[in-house]
Amino acid sequence: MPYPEVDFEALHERIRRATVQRPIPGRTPALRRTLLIATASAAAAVLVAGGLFLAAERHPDAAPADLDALLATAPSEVLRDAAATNYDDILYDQQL
Amino acid sequence: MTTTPDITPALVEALRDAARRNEAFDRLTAAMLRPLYWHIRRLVVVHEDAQDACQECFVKAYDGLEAFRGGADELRAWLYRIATRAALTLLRRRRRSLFASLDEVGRELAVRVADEAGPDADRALVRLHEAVLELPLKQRLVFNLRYFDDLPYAAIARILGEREQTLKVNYHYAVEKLKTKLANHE
Repeated sequence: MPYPEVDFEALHERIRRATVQRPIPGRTPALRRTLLIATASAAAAVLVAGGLFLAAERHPDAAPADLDALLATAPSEVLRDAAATNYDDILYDQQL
Repeated sequence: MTTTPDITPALVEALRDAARRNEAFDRLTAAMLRPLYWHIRRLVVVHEDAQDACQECFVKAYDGLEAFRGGADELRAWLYRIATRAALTLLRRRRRSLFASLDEVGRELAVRVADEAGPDADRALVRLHEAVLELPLKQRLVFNLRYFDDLPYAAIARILGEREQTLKVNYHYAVEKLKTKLANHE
């Protein structure tokens, strides 16, 4: 070659830093993947919650039926506690 | 002439093993750095450009290692192919206009060989490299790989994705043109 000698040690070191010694290459994609999954999960949760809320809004009559069923099947002790709690709420809630 | 070092099957095996990959890649870099650098330098002429393209080549190879399938011969051909592509990509960026061909870039670079070589360089070698840069790209690639890298046609065929017969014809034309150019210069 007509060109002067090249410092291959320096070039090798430079390549080493850009390849085998560069900051752990697998970590960035893994972090990105985790963030992507977390974002997708959060979005899915919001959608499901929204769907449930809308479904509950569209069927307001469902609640009394559920309450009737609950009152019919719940043990008397539970009903007594619930009644006491409700009584306390009414007694101490200034807005009611 | 530069002789290309052998890449052993043991090295290829180590590159496939995630636990030994980095150490093996460092050895691969040490083995292939010189031939790939000079291969790139013959195409891009300027030392700094050759360094950049050489680094780009090894980074691409490192990132693509997991997808690589093949033995030692294929690995060497694969590295040369990446190096060639890195050099040609760099040359495309150096074009004066969007429509300039890489043949034109080569001719423009020919005038820089003497500057890059320095005042103490062998004049005959400088003239040879200038003449090679004036060859059409395909002939230049085949000539460089055959004459300077001393690679067999089968290996060059793997690198350039051409038939051996075509490469032999390209090499023949390249040699004929070089003889004429150098004779005219004397």
